[in-house]
Formats: sequence, C-alpha cells, structure tokens
Amino acid sequence: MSAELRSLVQPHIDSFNFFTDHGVEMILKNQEPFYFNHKDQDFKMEFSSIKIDKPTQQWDSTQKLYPNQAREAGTSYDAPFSGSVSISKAGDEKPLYTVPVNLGRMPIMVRSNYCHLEGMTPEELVKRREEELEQGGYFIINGNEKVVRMLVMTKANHPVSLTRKGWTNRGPSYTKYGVTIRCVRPDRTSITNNLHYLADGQTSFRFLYRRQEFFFPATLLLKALCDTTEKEIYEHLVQGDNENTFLTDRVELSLREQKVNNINTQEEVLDYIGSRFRHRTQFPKTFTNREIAEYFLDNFVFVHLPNYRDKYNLLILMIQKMYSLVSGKTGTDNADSAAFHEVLLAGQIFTAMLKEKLVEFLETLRTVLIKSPEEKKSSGIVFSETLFKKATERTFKIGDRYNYFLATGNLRSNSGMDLQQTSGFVIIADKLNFLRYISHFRSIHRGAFFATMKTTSIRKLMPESWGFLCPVHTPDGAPCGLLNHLSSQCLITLDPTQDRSIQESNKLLPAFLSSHGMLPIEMTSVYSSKYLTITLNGRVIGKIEPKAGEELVTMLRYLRSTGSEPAVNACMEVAYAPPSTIENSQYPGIYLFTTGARFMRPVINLSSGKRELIGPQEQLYMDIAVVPNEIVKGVTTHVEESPTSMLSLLANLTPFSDYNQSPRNMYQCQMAKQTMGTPLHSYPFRTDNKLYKIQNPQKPIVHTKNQFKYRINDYPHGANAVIAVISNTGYDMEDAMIINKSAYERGFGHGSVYKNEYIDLDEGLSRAEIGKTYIARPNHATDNLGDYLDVDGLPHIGRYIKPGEPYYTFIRPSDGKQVTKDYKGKEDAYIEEIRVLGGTNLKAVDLISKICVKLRYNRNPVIGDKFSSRHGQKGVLSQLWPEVNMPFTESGMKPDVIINPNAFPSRMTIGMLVEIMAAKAGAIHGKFQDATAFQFDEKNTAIDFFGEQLKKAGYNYYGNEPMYSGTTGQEFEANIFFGVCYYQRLRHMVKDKYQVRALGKVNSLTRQPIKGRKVGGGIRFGEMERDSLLAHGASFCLNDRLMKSSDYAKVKVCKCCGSTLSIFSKREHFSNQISSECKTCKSENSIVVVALPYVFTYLVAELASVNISLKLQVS
Amino acid sequence: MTARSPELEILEIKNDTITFILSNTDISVANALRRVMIAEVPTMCIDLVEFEANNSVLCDEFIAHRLGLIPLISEEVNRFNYTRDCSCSERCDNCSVEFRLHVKCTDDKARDVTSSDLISQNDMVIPVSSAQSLNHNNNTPDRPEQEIPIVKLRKGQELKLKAIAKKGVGKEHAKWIPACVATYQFQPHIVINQNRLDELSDKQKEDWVASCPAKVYSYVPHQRNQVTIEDPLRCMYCMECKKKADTYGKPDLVTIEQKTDRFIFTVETTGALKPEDIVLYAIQIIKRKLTDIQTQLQTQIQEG
Repeated sequence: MSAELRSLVQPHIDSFNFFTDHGVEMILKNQEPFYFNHKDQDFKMEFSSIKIDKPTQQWDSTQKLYPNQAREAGTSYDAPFSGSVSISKAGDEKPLYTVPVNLGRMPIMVRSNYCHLEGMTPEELVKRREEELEQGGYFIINGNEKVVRMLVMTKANHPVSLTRKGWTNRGPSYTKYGVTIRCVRPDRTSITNNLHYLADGQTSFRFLYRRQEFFFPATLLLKALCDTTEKEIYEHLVQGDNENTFLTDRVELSLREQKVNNINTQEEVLDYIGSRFRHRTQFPKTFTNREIAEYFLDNFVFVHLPNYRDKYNLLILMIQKMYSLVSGKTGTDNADSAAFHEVLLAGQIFTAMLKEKLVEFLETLRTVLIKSPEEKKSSGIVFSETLFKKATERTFKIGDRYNYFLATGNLRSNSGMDLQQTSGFVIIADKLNFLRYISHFRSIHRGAFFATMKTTSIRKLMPESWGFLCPVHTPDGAPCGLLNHLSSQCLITLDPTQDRSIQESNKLLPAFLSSHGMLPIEMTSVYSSKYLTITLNGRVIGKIEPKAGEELVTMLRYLRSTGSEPAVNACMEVAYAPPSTIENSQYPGIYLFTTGARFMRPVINLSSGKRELIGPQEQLYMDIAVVPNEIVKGVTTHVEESPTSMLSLLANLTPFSDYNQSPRNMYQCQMAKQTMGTPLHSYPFRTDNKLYKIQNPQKPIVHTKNQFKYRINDYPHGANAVIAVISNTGYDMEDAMIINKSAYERGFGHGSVYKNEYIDLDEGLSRAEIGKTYIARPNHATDNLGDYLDVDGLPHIGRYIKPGEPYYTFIRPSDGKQVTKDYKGKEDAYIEEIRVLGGTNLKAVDLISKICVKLRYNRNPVIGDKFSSRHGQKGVLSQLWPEVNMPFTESGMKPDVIINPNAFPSRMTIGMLVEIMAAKAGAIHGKFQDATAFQFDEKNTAIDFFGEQLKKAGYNYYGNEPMYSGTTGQEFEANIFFGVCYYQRLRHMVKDKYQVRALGKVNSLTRQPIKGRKVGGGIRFGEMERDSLLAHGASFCLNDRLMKSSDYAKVKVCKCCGSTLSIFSKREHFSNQISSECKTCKSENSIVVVALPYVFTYLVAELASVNISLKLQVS
Repeated sequence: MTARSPELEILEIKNDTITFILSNTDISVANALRRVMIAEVPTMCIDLVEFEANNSVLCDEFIAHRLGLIPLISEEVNRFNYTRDCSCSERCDNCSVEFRLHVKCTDDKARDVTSSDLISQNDMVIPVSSAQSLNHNNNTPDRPEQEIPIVKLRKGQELKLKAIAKKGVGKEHAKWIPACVATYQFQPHIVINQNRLDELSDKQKEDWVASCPAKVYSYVPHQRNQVTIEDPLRCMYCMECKKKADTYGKPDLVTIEQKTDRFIFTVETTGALKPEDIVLYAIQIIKRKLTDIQTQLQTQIQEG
C-alpha cells in the first residue's frame, strides 16, 4: 500500500471513522428524549444503546463478509446494525422496559476501521481478491462502488458578514446587511444563525426551527443569555469608543426599543421566550417556560458553544461586526472564497442522518404502538413488553435509509440537515481507468444549488484557493468551476475527537495565549475599541493590543511549524485579519481554528525551516514565495514546498504543462479520465458492467515526479509512439491521424472490453413456476448443439460467439422441455467467465437459475477510433497506412503515428513539442526524462536542455530529420519534426457508436422509422437538412427522404367528400377481394388511392377529434 | 546519353546487417528494392493457433498475436508453398509447419513461457532465438541471445496449444516482414572551401566542427590540414554547419550536395533471413515480376 496513494482518499476514511468511532456515541449521548402523551399519560422513549458490527454475511452473522464477495455477488458491503430502546413514564427514573431492536444493516466504508481489510498487508489484500494498492474510501451498494462526493460548506463557527438582496423581504425595515454563522456541534451537526440589520439601527437574530424562521431582537437575546444590565451591554458593544456616534446612536436605540415590552431581567426574558414558543413544541405541560426557553437557547442559538456567557460574547462580536459593516468601516466577506469554506464528508452526513433517523424511528414507533390493535381494543394502557417489541419490529429499518441514500444519492430529511441540496451526494466510482477512479475521491463540488445560478462569480478562480483547489482540473462546460479537485498536497483536518493532541491543545491554548499578551475576555468588560478580538473555534477568548497581536500570530505560526509547544497544534489555522485603514477591508481579529474538515496545506516556514500547515483564510495575509529565489528579505515568511503543489494529481501528470496554453491542460485532465487504460489488476474477480483493458501499455518515457510518487506506472494508460509531424497524404487533415498499419499489427493500441451480462431465469415468473426452470441440457446427445454448448447447457469458456448462435439451454417451466436461447448481442465476443449465482431459497441448490456471463470483446483500433497525446491534442484514426508507404528517415525509422502540423499553431501546445524532443533523446540515451512543470526558465530553457541531448546522440538540435517519401523514394524538401510521444487511446470507439439502417422498426402510430441506435433506429433527417435540400431544389431527393424512405402509404380517399376517415373496407367472403365504401357518400365508385405520408392520416384523425374536418380535393 | 548499368558495392556484412552502395541508377529502382525487401520477401510465421488449455492471465487472441510476432528461421522459405497455392485441401507439410507448446507451472515461483518452449515439427523452421542458442559455440551472435517471453504462468496455470506457421509476406501482416530496417540515403558530397577555412580563427574552426551533430568533420589543432571530412556518410543534411558558417559571414565555406544516383543501403534483419538473402530474394522477386510481364507480353503478341 502506497502511503501517498492512501493519503489521497484519507479524508473519506477519516470521516467515516469519525462516524463509527465517535459520532454514533455522541449522537446517542446527546439525543433528545422523545415525549408523547397517550390517554392522558406522558411517556418518554429513548435509545439506550446503538451498535454497529463488522460486516458479516446476511444469512450467517458468524461469517465475515469481505468487500469482494459483495462486489461479485452484486450485494452490499454492510454490517449488522442494532440497538435498544427504552420506554418510561415521564418523570420516572427507571424505564418500563428496554428492548433490543434490529436497525437493519449499516453500509461500511472499505478500508475504514470497521472494514475487514483495514490493516491488511498487500499480500493479504491480494489473497482477499483485492487490488494490491486498494485504498478504499468508498461503499459497495448492490455491487457498485459508491463515493460520497465532497461538498463545499461554509466554514464552521466563524461569523461572516454579507449583503443579500433577498434579506430585505424578511420584513419591514429589514436591510440587505447581515452577519451569518454556521454553528457546528461537536457531533458535526450544524445550524446556521443569522443576524440582520434593520433600517432603524437595530439588529435582529434569526434561526430555523422545524423549517420555520423565527426572529428575535438581538438585544433581547443578549439579556436572555446573561443576567446583565443595559449599561453593561452598551459598554460591551461600544468598548469605550464613545466618539463613534454611528455606533452609540444605534446601540442606544436598540436598547431603548426593547424597553417597550417592559421585560428587564434575564428571568423575565426567558419566561417571555418560553411562553411564546410553548405551543410550537410538544413538551409535557409540566415543563416551565424557562425550561422551554433554555431548550431553544441550547439547541438553536450558537450551538457550538454550550456556555451562555460564550454565546453572549459571540453575539456581541457579531453585532460589532455588523455595525462595522454597515458604517462602511469594513467590507463584506466573500462567501464564495475558499477562505470561508470547509468540506462536507460522508461521516458528517452519516452522523447527522443518524441523529434525525433516531427521532424519526421513535416517532414511527409511537404511531405503531398507539395504533396497534391491542392498544385500540383496550381502554387502559397495555404497553406490554411483547407489544413494545412487536412494535419495534414493525417500524422501519434505519439501515435501509442509509442504503437508500448511498444507492440513489438522495437525502430524505425532515429538517434538511442545514444542507442546501437534497440529491446528488453520491457518485459511482467509475473504474474506467485508474486516473478517473482516483479523481472521484479528490473531486469537490460547490453544491447543486449553485449549478442553477446564472451568475458566474461563484465559478471564478480565487487567490484564496491557491494550493487548495487545482486551477487546471475542472471540467469545461456546465460544471466548470463548480466541480473542482483538491490539489495533491491539500489535506482535510481531522475532527478533534479523533486526535487527542488537538483536544489537549484546545484546553491549553487560552492559558498559553494569556501568558503571551492576550487579555482574557472574562477579566474586564471594557477594552480599547482598537484591541483585536481573539476567537478559538468561534468562541471569544480574549482581546489583544494590535501590535502584540501581530507578534503573537508570528509566534503561533513558528510554534506550529516546530511542534514544540503542546498548546499550539500543527493543524491549527491562525487566521489573522490585520487592522487596516483601507476601505472594504476585512473585520480585524485573530481567529484560531482547530475544527475538523478544514482545508490545510503544507508550506515551509522560513523562520524555522520546517514544514507548516496553513489554511485558506490565513493564506490571504501571508507572504509566501513560490520558489526560493522569489524570497524578499524581511517580507517573505514562507516558501512553497514545490511550485507544482498547487496542481491536482492529474494536472501534475501532464508533462511540461507549463509550456502549454492553459485550456489544453484542462482538456488533458478530461481526456486522461476517458483513456482506455489499466483500471485494476484483479480482472478475474470483477463483475463491473463494463471494463476496459489495454493490451500493450508502457511507462511514459517522459513523466513527471508524481508518476512515480503515486505509483501511476502500476496502472499505465498509453504507449510511447514514434511520431512524425507532417502533412503527408491528406488523411491527416482536421485532427485526423495516420497510424502505421504495421505498428498496429504489432500491437499498437490493442485492447479489449469486458462486459458482464446477468441472466436470471426466475425473472417475471410466478411463485409457482420458480424452481421449475433452470439451466440444463438433458438432450445433449441429440440436439446437435455440441459445437456451441457444454453438456451443462452453458457455452464453452473461451468460445468465440457470434450473434444468433446458441447461448444457453434451459428447462421451460410450462412443460419441462429443453429450450435454446440465442446470443442476442450485436458484436462478436469471447466467453471469458461464467459465474453461477445463488438463486432463490425455494429450490434445490444444484439447480442453476441465475448466472453472470463475462464477455470479452476485441477492440483493436479501427478507423474512426479516438487517440490523444497528453496535451489535449485528440484525433481520430483516419487510415491504417501500409508501412512501405510511410515516410522514413535515413536511419530507416518509420513513424507509428503521423499528425498534421496544423494541430499546433492555434492550440499552442508547446509542451507536446518539448515532450517529443525529450522522449526522443530519452529513447536514444536509454533514460526516463523528468517533465515536472516549472523546472526550466528563460535562461535555462527546455529546448536547449533536450536539444543538447539530441545533438549528443547525433540528431538535429531541434529534433528535425530529413525524410524520404515511402511511395516515390524522393527526399522531402523540408526536414520533418520527428520523435516519440506518449499516446493514450480514448474510450470513444466506432464499434460503440456506428449507426446504420436500411429497413427496420417503425413507430406504430406514425409508421415513421424510430430513433435510437440501440433499437436499430435511423438518424433524423431534420428541418435544417430539409431546408438544405429545398435550397438546392433537390425535390426528388427530398421526396425520397421524407416520404418514400419514411412513412409512404397508399391511402383511400373519397373523391366526393374528400375524406379519408369515412371509408370502410371489407373482405368479400368468396372472392376474397377487398371492397371499400364511403359511408358518408354511400358510394363505392368515388374512392381513389393516393400516395401520402402515413402521418398525414394521423393528423386528419387528430383534427377530427377536435371537430375540424379536413378535405382533400382529388381530381 | 547512354543507358546506365547499376552497380553494387558491399561496404559491410554482419550477422544481422548489410550495408552496400547502389550506384548508377535511379531513385525509382532504389525505392522499388527497398519496398520489396519490406513488403514482399516471404518468411515463415505462426499464423494459426489452436488452444487446448489456457488459464493464464493473457487471453487467447493476445497470446496468438504474440506467437505470430516471434521471428522464425526462414532460410528454407522457398521450399514452401503459399497455403492458397498449395495443392492440399487445408494444409500440408509443403505449406506449413506445426509447432506445439505445452507448459504447466507446478512451482511456487512464476514460470516464464518463452519462444524456446515452442517445439517445431520441422528442424529447419524454429524460433530465431532458439537457433542462436544452438549456434552459440561456433558463432557469437551480435546480441546476447534472448528468449522471447510469451506469458508468465503461476502455480496451477497451464498453456497448451498447437500453432501453425505459414509462408507469407509483409504486405499482408507486419509479422512477415524480414527486415527491421531497410533504408537508403543519398550519398553526400561535401566540399570544404579551404580558402574560406583559412580565414577562420582556431576557435571558430573548432566551433564549426562541433556544430555538426553527426560528427562528419574532425579538427586536429596545429596541423596543416586542420579540418578534415572524417566520414561523409554520417551527414544527415541537417545543414547545421552551413548555418554556423552563415554566422561567420562565410556562406560558401562548405557545399553539401546529394549524389542522387548513389544510394547507401542499410538492411537489418529480424533474424528470419540472412541480411544478404533479403537483398537477393528481393532482387529475384523484382526479376520474376519483370519476367512475368515479359512472358505475358510475348504470349499476347504471339496470340496476336
């Protein structure tokens, strides 16, 4: 197992481990008891335990289930999931009963702590029929590998000031200004709180409860959180800045406004809040108003802070930030920048889901209990243990909800879980080739909501994301800029619960900071307004004098890099917004984060010379040199580990990408993922729908450092081809490429496709018939199928099967006779493997009714197949040109591939030219060439470096060679650029795409040919094609296309009434002749036959249905 | 102008290559010879494979393809008929050679199946690599002899097959091409203008000589003829020396011309045939073609 490869999927695995190791426990501990009233008696239900096991077989919980067993059988890799529920009378200490419940089966992430594969050596993995380099990070649902795609979330516990036009609709005098904070509890469930600015200067607090918005004057909330006085609140907000009349006026007004209600003390405020919310909740009547108010303060206001004083301090900070924003002192934060982003991963969704599903389970359980027949019959309460137990069995299985989520990607939720979308969370990890596969784990989406937005600002590449998100690896087109990929060095932080050292440093940090100049927030209430606020994970912990603050930040970063101070954790982000006089600058402060799911990346700290992790929010104010010689003494504090660390894994694999026009590098990232390569090595143990295999892959001669680091050469996806850049026969025009026929015959680009077909004889059969049908060949002595089939009724392994040949024989359920089924596929195939799968339990084990046939299709290159170099230069194979006709060099070399020089000027892929030179020199000198980007510069150019190598080998400096025409033998006027280039074969193949039709199916309604390649349909001759023929005056051709070759029909029309609908035909009894009669005209003689498009008669019928008669005038 | 008669001069014959100069003739003749050597000189190659057992990691058609590419000693190729011309119904010993291969791996270590596991029914037609190891004692090969790997088998895997080699030409499939390299180049005619050369400084002379990537010239300081043409045949007409001379402002320092009636041929064999045989057979084929036309012409004239 390569550690580098593993690090790419680590965020997924860490996140799932958080769920199983800590999330479940936390949810259980923090669950809200479920109260309900039944027959005037209050009951309380809650879960007393929840347990996830390691994956076991469904039919036998003592047998281990391994991922590959689930994959091959087409089932899910999941584990028993159980718990126990207790019910008690409200107020009672001891529960009435506690019964165990089966919660279904929980999908387990491969290679997480709960997976059997975790900790296995490569040898053991291979023994378990896995890849040697299996990294995990996905789920197996119904045999498919599913990944929960990373989603961008607002950064946890940091107030962000924004303006939104929509906020003005919240109520009268609401303005566009607001400060919003996404509060995340220790169990990673979150709630977003907003603070709004009202036109009169007040601020209003908003939160969501049961999908409904509630607003609160912020000053009232301050009083509810803390037993304080108005004077104190005033001082906290103004911080002695009494000259700032903008601030003082508004604070005074807000405080005065709340006087109207005549509620002054904390007690009164809580009572007031509780009374207002009581009817919205389901609490027993015994609960006091204060208890209800506290419930809301605990669960919906700044939920990341349990302490009310902390909540109070944070609200003060947010109000200050708001006034600063409105006064224009500071600007808005950019919510689209990576500085205010973090990641949503599988574990967080799983935890939040569990929280919600437990409540849902109890709600359903109550309904089942109350509506049970036993309960209805009785006048009293009969919550017996057996009834309770029975009710739990009738309630839904929570595990099914998880399986549904992973199978469809849809999130069914009552609360919405503070997410902006309900679907599209899960993607299939497509194993087309290794690069595509691994990219799924690094992809990060901005959110489905943003895909519908018309503005393009969210798609922009921002400096904050430098080093965290790859600027190159994003698709062009609709998802451009929304679907990004993490840079190869970008890490996602662990949750503090998963790392002791983070918890430890969280505890030590406030005291450490106090000893280094921070004034703790508890000490006094008034500081100078110039002082900077210090927060830790959204908790205000102190204030500091600005100058001291800057020194503190530098020290924290130094200590973070050395790791010598336990209070300063390596993964702590030290975001520091310095005080500034510039307009629209950020609200100053020192914001420390040690939460999980944040982006971090390594750079070198110049003061310590060590590796240090930095976050996107602090990066904005840091001076980081890209290369060492950019360092400015006294300014630069950090330097990048490598200039290529800003690129993703895939973008890093493009050789000399710094020489290419940037869109070409983007195209290459797309095309690398469409390459027919080596997706895996465990072909015999895979039953994927479609798998590609390239027959003669090679390591690229020219490669980047990452090629080795991430062991990409273990999964090669192309071949080094000898290439000549020349316009030769005309077959290389417009991005076509000529391939040497002999090169093709020696194996260039050869490959195969594997497909798996499932045959289930029981499908669509009635219960009685199941078990009576199975695959067998009792008549093998007499049926003459010996050439095709084995005696068991299945085809021979290795047989080359053609369409229409016998495929298998089976016993028909109706009469028990042997029936032969033919091969329905449209392409010749080899039978690679046949798997016998377990059938239903209803019949004997040895009767085969379900099989999986793996077919192998030969896919050697044919004209029209697509190839590409690694520089976004794709082309189709236009001709397999005989070797004798190929141009040749003086040394007798003939190119494998000829491409047209016109492919270069407009696309400016100089990287490809350099690659050709480098590979040519590498091939001659027998060494691999390093093509990592940004190694060369203007003084020390790649051209000279490789030119010298070529010269040393006796070649022209620039790689040009005189060539002779293969056909005439004459030398070309110009010397030809000739070398070696790594070529990928793309998966788009003519055999999958060609469409041809002479005769075939027609639409029954219109009698026109149907569409669709799969069903043998035609290609539409549409309006524009029609216009074209009209313009040429080719009317006969038009008639041929639109009528004769389409829905030509002979239609009977009555000359008299002009109708096609009134004619009725019947066959005479004896003469067998057809006689027709117009029922309106009562005439037989008036009928004539006219040639019409059949769809016309359909139009006539449709018009008739809306009372429009259409008459034809026939002469 | 009198008709020319082509001349041939052998420069070098090695085990696997022949170099000769064809002169006093035309491009068309030289190219015809080259094309025939590649595309029409017949050899023997495995063309049909019948699998009896194959549970190796490679699929049948892949192994068959690899077998086809193994060069076979084809010195006796002229004794065989093309299967399509042979009088037999399907195939016979006159038009084909049968090979058998049966390897089963029983060791814990992987077993390499190579060309030496192919057992021929005809001693004259065997894989080139096997022939090299046979001749090892009396004839040192230019390259260390190496078996051609076909597939690796691990414990329990088996490969059993019958392969039939047939006579064929490179036109049909690349495996029948006897020559890895068959190429020619025009003989260069290089003249250094000694007067101009004398005008150069020693440093310039040295740089000028070094400008040739193919090392055509040699430079020995402190001698009368400081710059000499070491080997004109190395020249590949890249004109780097001319470009360099231009930078000195002496475009007439050197003239390079191609003698378009002198062709330096290089032919390298795959091992199927001796390099000189490839050339001989090619000439025979051209001759036969001409004879065929001649006879046809004669018969048609006679028939009137």
